[in-house]
Amino acid sequence: MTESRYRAPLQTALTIALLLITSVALSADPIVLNPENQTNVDEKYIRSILTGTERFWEDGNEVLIAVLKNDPEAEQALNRYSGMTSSKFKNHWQRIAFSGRGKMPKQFNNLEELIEFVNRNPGAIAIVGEGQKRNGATNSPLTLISTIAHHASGPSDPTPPGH
Amino acid sequence: MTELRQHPLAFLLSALALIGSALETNAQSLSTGGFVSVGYLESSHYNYLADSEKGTLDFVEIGLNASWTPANRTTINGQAFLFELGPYGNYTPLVDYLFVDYAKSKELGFRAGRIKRELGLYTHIQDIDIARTSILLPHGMYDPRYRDFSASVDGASMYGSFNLPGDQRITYNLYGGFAQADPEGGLAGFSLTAISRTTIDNRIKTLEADGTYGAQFWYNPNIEGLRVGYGLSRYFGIDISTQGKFPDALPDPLLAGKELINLGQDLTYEIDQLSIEYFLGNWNFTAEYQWSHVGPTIDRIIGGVFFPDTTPPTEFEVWYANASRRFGKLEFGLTYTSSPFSKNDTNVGNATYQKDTQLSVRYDVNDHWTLKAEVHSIEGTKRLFNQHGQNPVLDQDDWTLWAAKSTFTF
Repeated sequence: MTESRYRAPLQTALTIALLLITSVALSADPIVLNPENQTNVDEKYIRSILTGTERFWEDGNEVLIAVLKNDPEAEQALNRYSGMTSSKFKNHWQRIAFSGRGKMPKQFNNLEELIEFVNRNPGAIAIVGEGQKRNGATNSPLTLISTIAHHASGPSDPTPPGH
Repeated sequence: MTELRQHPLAFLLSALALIGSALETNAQSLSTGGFVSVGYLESSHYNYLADSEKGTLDFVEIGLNASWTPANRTTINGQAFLFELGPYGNYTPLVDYLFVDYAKSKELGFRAGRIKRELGLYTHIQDIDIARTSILLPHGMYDPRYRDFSASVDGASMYGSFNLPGDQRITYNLYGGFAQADPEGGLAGFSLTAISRTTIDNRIKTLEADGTYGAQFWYNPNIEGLRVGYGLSRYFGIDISTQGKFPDALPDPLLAGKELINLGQDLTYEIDQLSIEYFLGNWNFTAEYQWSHVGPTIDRIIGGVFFPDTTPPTEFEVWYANASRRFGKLEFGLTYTSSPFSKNDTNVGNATYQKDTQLSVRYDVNDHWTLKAEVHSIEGTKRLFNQHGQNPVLDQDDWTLWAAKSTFTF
C-alpha cells in the first residue's frame, strides 16, 4: 500500500530529473528539451524557435513549444527569450497558426503536465521560470539543473521577432 | 484545380478524412484549433459591407483548422471557413486553405495545394480577428468583400529565411497558381457598382480569373521588433463583363431602353505594397502603402454598337498608419486610412476618395474570449458598393460607422 502510494510521485520526480538533465541553462532560466533531442542551442537559436522561424529541429522533428500558464516567472523568461510581451507572443502565434504556418504553443497549468508533454514529444521545448529552479533546490532531482549550465554552444541564428 | 475550386465541400471532406487518419496514427502530431466570431455593424448613413444603416448582426466568421505532421519536416494544414457579411458569404462552408508543407531547411520550404496568399501584413490573416486590435482592417487595402479572390490561391509557393551579417534577416515567400472569383463576391460587386447608378437589371455576364502570382519580402534589420516589407501581386487573364439596360424613360433617345455591356477581357490587376511594422514593449506601430492598376481597358457595347475604351488604365492608391497600445487586458488602437483621388477614376464627387479615422478598443476577457468595439469617422464614399441598390444616392460626404465584435477561439 505504502509502496504504491509513493510510486506515482516518485515516477514524476524521476521523469523531471531525466528531462532536466537534458535541459539547457541559459542565464538563469532552464530550457527543457526532450532527452532524445541532441540539438545544440543558444539564446539566438531559442529565439528563432520561439518566433516560428525554425520549425523543425536538425533531426527533422517538428518543434512543439510548451508554456506554463499563470506563472509570472515562466512568463518573464518567455518574454526575454522571445523578445515579445506575452500578448504579442500569443498574437504572433495566432497569426502563424491560423494561416497554417505552424502549431500554436501548448499551454499547461502545472509543471508536471508540461514535463510529461516534453517527455512524450521528441520535438518539444519548454521554458520554465526561475521558480521551478528554486523549487528544485528543495527536491533533490531538480537540483540537477544547475549541473548542466553552459550546455549551449549551438549555431548562431539572429532572429529579431516580428516574423 | 478548377473542379476543386468549384467543390469546396470535397476539400472539406478530404480535410476531415486527413484529420481522422491523423487521430488514428499519431495523436501528438495533430493540432487543431478554431474560432467563432460574431459582430455588429451600424452606420449613420449609407450601407457599408452589410445593411449597416439599420444596424446588423450579419457579420459572422467561423473557422476550424488542423495541422498534422505525418513525417519529418512535412506538415499538412487545413482550415474550413464560413462567413456572413451582408450579401457575401451566406454561411457557405469553404476551404480556406489545405496544403502540404515541406520545410527542407529554414532557408527553403515548399507548399502546394490551396495556400494562403501573402501580401503585406494582413492579407493571409485577414479573417483572423484576434490577430489585431481593430475589427475592420484598413478599407481599400484589406477589403473583406474581396476575400473570394484575395485570401487563397490554388497553387504552390516557395518560402524561407536567410540570415545576413550583423543580425539582419530576409524572409521571402513566392507563390503562383489559380485565383478564385465568386460571381456573388466583391469583385463582382465592385464591377456592378460601376454601372448600377445608370442602368437597370444589372448582372454579371462573365467572371473568370486565370492565374495569379506574387511575392512578399520582409527585411528585419538589427533593431528588435522592426520589420520592413515589399510585396507584389499580379492577376492575369481576368474576364469580367457586366450587363444592364438603360431605363426606357431616359431623355437621351440614343440610350433609352438600350442594352449596355461593359466588356473587360484578358485584364491584368497589378498590386504593389510597402509595409512597416514596429513593436516596442506594449506599443505597436504599423503603416502600409499600396498602389495598383487594372488594365488594359474595359470596352462598351451599347445597343449592339461597340465603343472601344480609349482612357488609360485606372490607378488606385491607398495608405494607412496605425498605433496601438496595450494596458493589461485592454488594447487601444488609432488608425488613419486614406484612399485619395485616383488617376483616371471615372467616379465623380465624393465617390473619388475615402478617408477613415478609426478608434478601436479590444478587451481580452480570458484566453479564449475577446471583445472589441470601434468607431470610424469617414469622409467620402469611394468604398461604398451599390450592386444591390444598397447605396443608390451618394448625397452625404461625412458619415460614421460603429462596429462591435465578440470572438471565441479554441
